[in-house]
Amino acid sequence: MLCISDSVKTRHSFVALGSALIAILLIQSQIAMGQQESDDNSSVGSWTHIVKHNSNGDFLGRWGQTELGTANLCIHTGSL
Amino acid sequence: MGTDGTGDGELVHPHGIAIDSSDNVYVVDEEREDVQKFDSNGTFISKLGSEGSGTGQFSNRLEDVAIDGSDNAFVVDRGNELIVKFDSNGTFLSSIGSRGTEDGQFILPWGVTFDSSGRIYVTDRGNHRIQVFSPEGQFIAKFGGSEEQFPHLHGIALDSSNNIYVADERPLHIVQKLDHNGKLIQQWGDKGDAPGQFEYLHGIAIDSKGDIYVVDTQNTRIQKFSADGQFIKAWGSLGITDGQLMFPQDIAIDSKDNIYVTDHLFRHPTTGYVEDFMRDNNIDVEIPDE
Repeated sequence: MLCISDSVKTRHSFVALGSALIAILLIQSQIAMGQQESDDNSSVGSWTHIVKHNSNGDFLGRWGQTELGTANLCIHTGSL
Repeated sequence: MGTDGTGDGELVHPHGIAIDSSDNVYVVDEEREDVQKFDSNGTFISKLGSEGSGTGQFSNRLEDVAIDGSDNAFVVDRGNELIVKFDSNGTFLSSIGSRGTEDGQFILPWGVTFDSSGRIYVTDRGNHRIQVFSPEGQFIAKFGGSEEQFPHLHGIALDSSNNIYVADERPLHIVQKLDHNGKLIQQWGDKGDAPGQFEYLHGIAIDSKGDIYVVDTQNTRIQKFSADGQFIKAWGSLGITDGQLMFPQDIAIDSKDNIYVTDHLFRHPTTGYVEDFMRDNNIDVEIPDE
């Protein structure tokens, strides 16, 4: 399920994706709070892509990892 | 092109990227100990190297890759502080360097590219210099050497006149353009998010027309400039929909002037760096209610 709500207020528009789209390994709550994470990268989720554009910047495609998970990636307007 | 992991075609932390004469795409993964080769549609073809510090082996801190005119791959292994050369079949050929401050040695090498004669140019970040080697790997020259001149070198690219362009990250956030003797010709940029400014720039590449493309990592965009540094355009914004970027790193250009960018989030060996970026940009991860 894709769920996008875009306030179009700033470039930090709100984007919420359902678990079927974005794969985030279960991330400890301190990341959500912006606190320092440990050195254990295995607890950190992934967004790994190769993105292709033409020389005018038109989007041509993207390949990479989008894995099922149980979390949502959110880009918020305003403070967390 | 792959899924998360260390199997063939999978990605963990895609970082450096390069294109060969057939428009195949080589991707250095900063948390894998190999370099993967894909076709232009993202289908896995093969890989170079394996884990270790022996001949033809890599650490898990690979930064960049470049392909010469014979389709040999030169890989920057920051962890082993070497430049490693493979032929187009993935056979190890030779390596350049070791850890140190002498000529031909590196501390935290980052970028690699070539001039029109096949000479090899390496940004030697920890030594604050650019080193030049013959196509056979013999040391020829060095430019810079002071933190004031090159405080934090990342990507490097050369134009058809052998002018050198380097991305110099914090604290300057600038592109420096040098002639082939290392003399500064021009620089542009500043810290900020206006056109022509940068926030933690990384990769840099030049298209067939001589225009310059810079990966403006923390502004989550690609900026395009003329060869004399005039801003042409920018694209990208923070997000995960088509045309958006999350944390772009490096850039390569194919024979049709199409642009390939490595993009990732959450993965960086310097923990806290990405988390700071997420906090500053109000990115978080929510676990939905059951």
